[in-house]
Amino acid sequence: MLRPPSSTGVNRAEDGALSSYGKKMIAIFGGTAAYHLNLSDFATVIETLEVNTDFGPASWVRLMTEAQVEVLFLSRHGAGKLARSAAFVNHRAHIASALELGATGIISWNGVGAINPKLTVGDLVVPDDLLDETRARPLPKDEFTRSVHPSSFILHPFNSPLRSALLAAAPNAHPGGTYVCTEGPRLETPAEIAAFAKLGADIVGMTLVPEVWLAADAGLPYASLCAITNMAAGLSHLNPARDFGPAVGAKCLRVCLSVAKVMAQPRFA
Amino acid sequence: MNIAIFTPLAVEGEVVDTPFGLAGPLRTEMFDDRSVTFIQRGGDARARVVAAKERGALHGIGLGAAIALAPDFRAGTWLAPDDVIDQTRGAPTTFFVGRGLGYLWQSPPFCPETRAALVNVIGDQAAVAVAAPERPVTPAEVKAWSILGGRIAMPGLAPEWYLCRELEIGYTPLCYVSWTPKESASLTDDIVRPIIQKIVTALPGEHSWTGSNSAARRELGEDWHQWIASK
Repeated sequence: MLRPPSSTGVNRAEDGALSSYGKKMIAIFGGTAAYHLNLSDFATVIETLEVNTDFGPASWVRLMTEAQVEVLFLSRHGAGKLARSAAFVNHRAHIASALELGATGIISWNGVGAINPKLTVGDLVVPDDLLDETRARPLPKDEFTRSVHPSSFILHPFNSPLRSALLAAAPNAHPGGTYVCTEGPRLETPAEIAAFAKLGADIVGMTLVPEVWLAADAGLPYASLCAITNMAAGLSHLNPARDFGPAVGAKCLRVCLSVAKVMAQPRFA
Repeated sequence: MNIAIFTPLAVEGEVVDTPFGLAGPLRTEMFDDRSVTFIQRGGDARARVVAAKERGALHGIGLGAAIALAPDFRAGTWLAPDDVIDQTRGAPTTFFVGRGLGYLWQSPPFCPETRAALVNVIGDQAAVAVAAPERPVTPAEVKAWSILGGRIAMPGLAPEWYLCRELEIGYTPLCYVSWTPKESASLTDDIVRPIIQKIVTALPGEHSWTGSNSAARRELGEDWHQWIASK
């Protein structure tokens, strides 16, 4: 459930991972409405890259922020339009190419539905835990095997320094919450949302599995910024608004770009 | 207008080929002026949904023998579930493989027009159904699904319900409580046919529910055959 930042929910084994790298290069995985954005409105576009991997191609954009921090950007669902629903995102190609381009950490944004009635449309959440309710997605099979702790039985999925950086860049974001990932592409039923609430979920989306597990397998610290686009099924009476437009993507991209700047600060060095 | 009845009971009829494999056996009969196609479940659910669509199905009724998860049901009771929790694994999740389509709202999950005909016949016997795997259910699952909010468990419901939704077939499940901790009752043709006769008569001749797949129409055109063409 939603909770304030604490030592619980922190991926201790991963905490030191970022500082073990020399040059930091944040890779941003853009979610909802990323495909609608004109990136040059937000940063200087250095180049676009097509990276071929053993898992297929991935399209990247190399950006330079106003603070002269270089970041990588990828629109998960395709360019120009929502070309692939969440279940058909090529997470493996994305992670493999992020490694190849020298990424040392991943932050993503995700449009989600609110399950916890304390949340509402327009809120941001930096989740600290994850429930996997997908049905047919292949999990990692040691494709990358660079994890810093491959023998862990319990993995806190989100990296603490990256989460802190997200919260520093978006101070109004809710500092915790459990994301439940469904299979899709259909939306959830009201009964399913009620069941997820009983299991402890605060927000629902379709994207983070297996992306989070693949990033862990690759040894890439990972954190997510979740934008609440709608109340989940059965809760729309609390707020009937639905916001999937470019403004959501713009807000999230600005926060993610700020993270690169935050990560360059001494406390994260 | 055609009405598809997806059934766990044996159907004597033809087996038809579809882009997703064989469907059926299935058989079309006339109930007064209504064409009704009984389709036996089995194989890839996409095949039987496409077979129903090819026969012009506007409405689909998912017939099932249900397991009671709540203590207040009697065996032999008909129910018209109004909500569902999917507990199946590994089945096809969409016709829109590899595309950015299929984000269909599921609130409510079942077609109100089609369900209204059931309610007209059996009364408003609502229940939250668990879409169960097509295998025996364990006692621990009965307990767990009850805790999650389910009141009956019905095999065959998923992915049938949302695949019908993707192809704009107004779908609703019709459950016959076949097992409770105290008693059981078998679902048979003799029990099914009279109630199907009444429901078919009660169904509207048109299907105007707003749960149409407007995104698929916009992106892939009005011909649903283009929707199921692999990308």
